[in-house]
Amino acid sequence: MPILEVKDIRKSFGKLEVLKGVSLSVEPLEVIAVIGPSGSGKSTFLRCLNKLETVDSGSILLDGEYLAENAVYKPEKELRPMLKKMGMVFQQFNLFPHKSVLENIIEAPVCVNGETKTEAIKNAEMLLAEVGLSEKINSYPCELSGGQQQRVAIARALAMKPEIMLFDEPTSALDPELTGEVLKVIKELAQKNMTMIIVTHEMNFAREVANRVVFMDNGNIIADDTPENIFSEAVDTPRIKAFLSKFEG
Amino acid sequence: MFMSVTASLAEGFLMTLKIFALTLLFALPLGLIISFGSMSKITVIKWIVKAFVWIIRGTPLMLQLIIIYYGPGLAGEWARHMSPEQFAAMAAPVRSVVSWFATWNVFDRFVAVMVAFSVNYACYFSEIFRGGIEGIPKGQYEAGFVLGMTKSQVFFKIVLPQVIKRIIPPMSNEIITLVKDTSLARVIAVYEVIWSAQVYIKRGGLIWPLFYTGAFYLIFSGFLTILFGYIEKKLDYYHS
Repeated sequence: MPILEVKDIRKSFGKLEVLKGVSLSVEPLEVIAVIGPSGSGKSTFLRCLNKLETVDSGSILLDGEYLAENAVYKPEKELRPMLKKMGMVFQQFNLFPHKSVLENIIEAPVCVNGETKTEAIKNAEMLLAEVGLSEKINSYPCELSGGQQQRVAIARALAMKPEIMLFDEPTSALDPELTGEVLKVIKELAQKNMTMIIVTHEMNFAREVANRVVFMDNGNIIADDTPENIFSEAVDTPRIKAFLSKFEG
Repeated sequence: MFMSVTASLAEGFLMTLKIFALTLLFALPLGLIISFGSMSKITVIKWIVKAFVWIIRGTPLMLQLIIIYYGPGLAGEWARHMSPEQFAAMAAPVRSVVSWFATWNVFDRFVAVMVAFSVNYACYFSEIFRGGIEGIPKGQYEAGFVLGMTKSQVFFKIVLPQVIKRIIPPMSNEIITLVKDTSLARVIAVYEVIWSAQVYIKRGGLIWPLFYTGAFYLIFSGFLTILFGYIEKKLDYYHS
């Protein structure tokens, strides 16, 4: 059974139709890279999945349960427990600046999931070790580099024990020398069998980590295939060829 | 002489402090509520609140004090002295309003002061709150939302603590202004520190107690300046 199913969703901002009927089915353990030119609707698509944007039409199912059926969302109360099954990592990290690294990570597990503080702290320490930031546990976000902040943001999302992780251009706001450390963490997550959807401009990363690549253009998915096929010389869609050629050399 | 003047000014200053403290107590939460109104997605509410804030900020506090103190009494007088024919000529809903007016009397002076000060300062605070709240990036709300927090959890745990840090400088400005504005209470004969000093002029032509009141204001606003400096430093542990 697919963990996440998106059926024909549409989204407009004013007169501009950003998503023109997008469908996607995500099986457990899949790592899907969503690539495509700027303005193709990748981020909007991702943000529609957890209701950061509301769709104008179409349906979204999580674990076989309707999150939105024909653009009608579940009431807030039923929606919230469903949404927290999806962890999200933002381009701009969005850490809480007034909270320490530890507080950032334990806030939601304690106040949303009702974990005890001891339990949450133990889990946070483990997650920080995984992302290689154990020594920063008491630092504040402003004391960290962008790459470190993004790794904390990943740990914060994981602390909610999500079933699927959504990454919205996780390295686009980073200096090139810092993207590696974040991509490494995401790669390790893939090895630990986390289901993920990653919107990214890192083609090499997509090729290496994803087991499925979705190419979006102008509000549509125009290709959905294995990385081997998408990145092969033989790809016969001129739009993809033109896009990928920009990343060569 | 000096000691007795000090004692009576201190007594007057106690009223000053009372107006100051109670105004803060009422105006801070009320200001937060008004700021929500001025950011409301419901256009009608938003514009009504904005118009109200405009009226309160656009007219002198002294005038508001006078209207709130005398207004209800005047309305009551007017309603009670209305001729029966005049009363009968009015539509039923208007009649019930007028008979309600007829029960009105002049406010207690101190109550009038508290209403005028609280509403006036709430409007100024609301604009400071609004600026602070609107300055919090959208990403903070989104991060809370995707972690499953409710709207009020996001507001009280994520947004408000950051708003407080941002608004401390304009807030301290406004609060120090309030210290001095309390002297306006004397226009409706509430005995605060300046009134206590004026008593000496009227009684014996003694003018220096009036100058001396300045020392009370200076000491208190100096204390507040130090306090806000301390809070600002305390919140300086992070930058956004």
